[in-house]
Amino acid sequence: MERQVIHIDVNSFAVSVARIKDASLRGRPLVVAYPRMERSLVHTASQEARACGIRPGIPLNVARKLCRELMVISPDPILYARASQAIYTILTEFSPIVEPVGYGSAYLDMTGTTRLFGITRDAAYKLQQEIVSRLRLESTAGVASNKLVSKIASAVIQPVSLQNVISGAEEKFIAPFRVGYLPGIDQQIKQQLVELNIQRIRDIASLSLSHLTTIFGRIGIRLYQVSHGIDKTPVNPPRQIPMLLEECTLADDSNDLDRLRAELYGLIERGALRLRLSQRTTQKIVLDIEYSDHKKAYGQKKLPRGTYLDRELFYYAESLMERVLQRRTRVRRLAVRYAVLAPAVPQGSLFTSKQEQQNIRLTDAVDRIRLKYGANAIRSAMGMAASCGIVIQ
Amino acid sequence: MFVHLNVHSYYSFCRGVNSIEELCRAARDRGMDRLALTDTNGLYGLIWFLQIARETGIVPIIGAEITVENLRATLLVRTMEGYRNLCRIISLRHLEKPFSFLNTIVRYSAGLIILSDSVPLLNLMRNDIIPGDLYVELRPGARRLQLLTYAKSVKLPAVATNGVYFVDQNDHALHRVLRAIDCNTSLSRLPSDEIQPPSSWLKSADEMAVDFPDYPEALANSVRIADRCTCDLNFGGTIFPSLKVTTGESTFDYLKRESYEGAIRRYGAVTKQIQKRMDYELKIIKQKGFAPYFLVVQDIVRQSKRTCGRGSAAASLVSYCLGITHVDPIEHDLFFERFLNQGREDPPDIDVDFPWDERDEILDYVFQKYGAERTAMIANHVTFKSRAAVREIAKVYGLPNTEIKTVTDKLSSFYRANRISDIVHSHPVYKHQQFPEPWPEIFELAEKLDGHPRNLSIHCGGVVITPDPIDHYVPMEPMPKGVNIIQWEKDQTEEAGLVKIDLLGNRSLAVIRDALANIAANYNVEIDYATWNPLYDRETRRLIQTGDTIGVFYVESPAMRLLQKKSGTSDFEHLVIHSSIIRPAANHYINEYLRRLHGEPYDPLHPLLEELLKETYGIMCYQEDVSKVAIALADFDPAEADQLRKILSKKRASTKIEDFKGKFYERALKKNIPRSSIDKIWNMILSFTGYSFCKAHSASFALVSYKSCYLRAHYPAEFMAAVINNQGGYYSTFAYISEARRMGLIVELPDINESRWEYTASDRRIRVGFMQLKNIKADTIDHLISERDRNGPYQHFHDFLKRVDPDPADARILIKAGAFDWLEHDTSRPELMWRLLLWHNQSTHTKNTTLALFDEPPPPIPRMQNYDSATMLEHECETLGFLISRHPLTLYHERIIKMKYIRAHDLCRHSGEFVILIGWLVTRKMTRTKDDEMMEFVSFEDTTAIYETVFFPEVYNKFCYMLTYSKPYLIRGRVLQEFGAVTVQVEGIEFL
Repeated sequence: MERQVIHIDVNSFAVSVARIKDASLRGRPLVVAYPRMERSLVHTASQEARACGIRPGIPLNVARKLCRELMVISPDPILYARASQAIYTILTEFSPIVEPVGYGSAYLDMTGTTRLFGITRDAAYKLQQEIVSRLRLESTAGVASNKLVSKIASAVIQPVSLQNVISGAEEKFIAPFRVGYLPGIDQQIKQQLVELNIQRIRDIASLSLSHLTTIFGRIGIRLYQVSHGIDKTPVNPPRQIPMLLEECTLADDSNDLDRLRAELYGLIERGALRLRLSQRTTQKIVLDIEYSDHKKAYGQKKLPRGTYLDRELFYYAESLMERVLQRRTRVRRLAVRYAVLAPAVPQGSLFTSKQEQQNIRLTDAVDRIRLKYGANAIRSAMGMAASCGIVIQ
Repeated sequence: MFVHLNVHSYYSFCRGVNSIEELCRAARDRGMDRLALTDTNGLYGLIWFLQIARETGIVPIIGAEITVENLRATLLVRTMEGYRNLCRIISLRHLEKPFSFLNTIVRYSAGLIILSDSVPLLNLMRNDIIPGDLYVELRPGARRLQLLTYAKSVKLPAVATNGVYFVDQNDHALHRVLRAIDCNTSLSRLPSDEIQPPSSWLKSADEMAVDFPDYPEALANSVRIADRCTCDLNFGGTIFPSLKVTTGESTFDYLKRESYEGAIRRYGAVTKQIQKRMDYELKIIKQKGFAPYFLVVQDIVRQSKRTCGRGSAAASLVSYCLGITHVDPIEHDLFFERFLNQGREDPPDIDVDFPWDERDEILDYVFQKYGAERTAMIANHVTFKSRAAVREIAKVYGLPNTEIKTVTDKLSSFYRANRISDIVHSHPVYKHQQFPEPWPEIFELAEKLDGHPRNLSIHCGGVVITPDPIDHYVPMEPMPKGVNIIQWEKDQTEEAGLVKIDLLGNRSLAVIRDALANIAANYNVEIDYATWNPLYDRETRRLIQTGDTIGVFYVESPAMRLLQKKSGTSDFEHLVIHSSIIRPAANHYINEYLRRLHGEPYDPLHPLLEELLKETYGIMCYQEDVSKVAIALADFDPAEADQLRKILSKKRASTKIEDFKGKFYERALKKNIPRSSIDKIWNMILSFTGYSFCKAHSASFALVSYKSCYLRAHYPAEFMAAVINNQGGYYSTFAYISEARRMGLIVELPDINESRWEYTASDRRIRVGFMQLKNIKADTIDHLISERDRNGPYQHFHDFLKRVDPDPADARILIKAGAFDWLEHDTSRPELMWRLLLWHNQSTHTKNTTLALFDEPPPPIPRMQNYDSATMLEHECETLGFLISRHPLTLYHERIIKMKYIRAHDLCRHSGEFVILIGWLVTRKMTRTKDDEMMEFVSFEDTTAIYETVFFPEVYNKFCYMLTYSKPYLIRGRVLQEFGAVTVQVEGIEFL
């Protein structure tokens, strides 16, 4: 059966999503970038910003010079994750095999779905309509017999929003485009191609396989294939790793160690409660820190045994933070991920010390109070100083 | 009664909070008559301490606190021997790795009194130190009782100190910030052993008594110690370097003989006039004992063929005859008295310029000849100014760099930190900026940090040579560069009586050297630097007169070139005036000077000064004019007048200037000179604040200017190549290349067989050197040149690959820069790239023969088209940094020809008119108006000439954000002509 692949890409994903959340951002030149980071680069630019000559990848200060009314918003990974999840949900209604590629972009393997959705081009159109009506997000889609061509198709078709490359026309379709459009080819190789004055995909296609392998070695084979529109890689659905996440953004950034410890404790309290409520333990904690200038640091700690107790977790998390916090710049965001989750085995009295049993009983009592009188009815003194409260989900 | 014996000023870098003045004043206000200064591991502020203490009526006690890890001891100087020992101990503390604390202190303990609160140290020392010279140091706090018990048990006397690090209790906050800056951490993570307790302030005797209720003996001991530490620093006059004369004569006789021999070389014969002057100078030199000093300088100068003795030394016939300086003091009326006179107490200083790239060798020679023990460089005390203060404190508060930069980028580095709050709240550049917490706190702390020494660096050229080891006088420290420096900066060095010699690096001397070498090679013309006299060369004078002097030493800045053009003079004497009057503080006297130069009549400042300032049209121009005027008008004696001159150029001076002002006014008024005249003259004197030149110095510089201008006039290609090769001129390489093109020279791109590392020149052509290539490895270049020198030019591309075996990344740069275009003119650059990759793959294949990919012979190389011309220009920019083959403006030719504009070399024909010009930015200089508004002088060029423009504040505010070095402009403005020189007063600019 002939393969059919859709590559779908939400236009200026970060900008579009931000505009859904905040309507006042619409119709103005807008870029997503870290405004407080040194040598910050533009991640995404709106159409209005592009009209001023701003492109993703240029330095933010240059962008500001190009457009004096430019609005800048910081990337919001939580929002993007939510939006991506929503898109993903829609995509899975069209195909069981979906491969997300970063935020707002994915491949769908549509092979064999004709009876369900009609020909793939129509399915792609329906898919786009669905995303518009449910999420108010515009997208472009490329339809072809493989991932390579569908990706190029969706990238080169502006301002049309759907491009279908009929089977057999792959090579002819991609021939006139610049080599920069080829996905999955190393930037260094692309630069070498340009230096050899091989500017367009057809220029590669005009060389023999032995020419390409002589110069590029094994990659020459790949170049030969892609330049002829051949791509056999399958659409790979992602593997899911169970994990719990607790994070908080500080109301005002701080480098005061006591303050950060309190915030960390708050995160542990929240995470540990979630673990207990879902009857799971964690055996690995990962700490992510984002500084005021958006630089990030992270570290992880494998615990000697699975646990869901506040104190035990905090004991490891605190030393982890000591290790991770290397700079003196203020911290704006802390996140703790709880990984290697396992079902909690009731911790019997056989192997636990008396002190530990007390600890478990205390925790049980606290949890009962919380369930009865509300999550924040009882807090530890240290957690009180944290800026975020506890939520029972 | 109580005397503070452990006191730290801000010379305990990033530990002490207050200046020496603040400490002395507070001590006096709190009823003390004595004070020790014991900075951590150093005597960095000793000379100022001695002076200030005396001024405030405090008896100074010399000392230092030596710390190694957690051990510390306070050493107080009892005798001169003790002082020498202290210097030695401190030097060893810095130089010796590992430093053995105990052995060193015990060995050099004579003449010192030692206090310590480190028990392990006390235990080891108590048997070796003379009883009565070792004390247990008690500070208020928990350890006091423990130490007291210990002292009693080992029968050592104890003394109370307070480990003073600040004057007032509330300065503890700043102390913590300083520690956090030093430890590179935040306040909450500052380890407790890195900070001093909040009680470490300068307590009064009564307050100290409260801290030691049970042991008044400890307080009394502080007085006993102070009574014994009465040593005052006295080196017995000026300390000169010494030189052994091998001929057996006395140093003076040797100097005399050398001077007369030199006179014959310089003048041919010794006339009466020469002999009279020489004898006079020698007499004073003998009286003052300066002979060895002259001989040492002569010895150093002899190590290089091309030097420029600068500073007042050029006024001496002896230095001229010894070859230290090159301007004839008799012909050019330079007065010896400015250099040396009987009334002057401090040593003269001779500064010598060397070609910048020879200076390190010269220094090596000096260190070797005079011994590393007796030779050291002078330190700079790097202090916190506004920018660094704000930046460092904000970092402690954890603010991200970008946020810090929004404040610091707009702070000029010249602002004193003590005005920061004022500046950020009132200056227009901060108009739209908010300063939320913690900024106000940061500003407040930054103001207090103003002028705090932060660390030492090496002075750019000051060397001290002493007859005995240097650490008999001052402690030494090592610098990463490998030389030792003394702990004092130049002012304290001088005050202490150490004679310094400034050996400075000068780019233009290297330019002259390189150009002369190139000329000798190209045309077989040898010019002898020492006897070469270009002052009357017609072509040279024409360039000087028209300000056509880009690249010429000291006359190439836009300001200087405009001044030359406006003055219309070409002679040496006027150039000497101009290189003096151009100093920043004298700006508004320049126009007055020009009017008078062009014949406008003027009244002298005062009849008494008429004759004195005749030569400079009644305007005070040279540094020595200050002293001359003070003598003539206010009856200063020569020594006083000389002091006034010096104070104007010194840092630690603002208070003293006021004293001199009072004296000046009082005495001048007594002579019935009207107050308005005195005001005028005093203002002119103040225009010498900061830096200014004496006539001899300007004359020395002017001579170098003439020499380099001569080269520009007669050997333009060789000269411009040398200017570019030595870098560091006023303009960028880009600007020099366009100037070269305007001079009618041909600039050629790098070539694999023609280029060398540096730019080369011959026959009105300049060949770009490989040094211009960006991102290429220097090793590759060295290798390719030496291989070419050894085995001849490369025959073809493959020959190059075979012989040089370059890193492909480097070879790609060479291809893109067009270095093979001539050698392989039939082959396109992409094809060379292909061949390069092929060669590289094959050679790595032969290295790892296990790889089976290339077992078959490679297919024939496909025919490849060359890059289009836009790509080639892009490659040129990428590999060379900018366009060299053509001026970037020529790329806009299509657009330019459609416009109505004036070409820059026609500007003078449009005086007074409103014009439109095409321009590419060459250089810019920001300045402030009297009302502290920003404005800018900007030099632009088109393909015909360079021209000067001015952006007045209103225009500047509107357009300054558009100014960049990488875009073409359309400039609208009015042409102003003044004394024959044209400038454009800009009204608007836009991108072309």
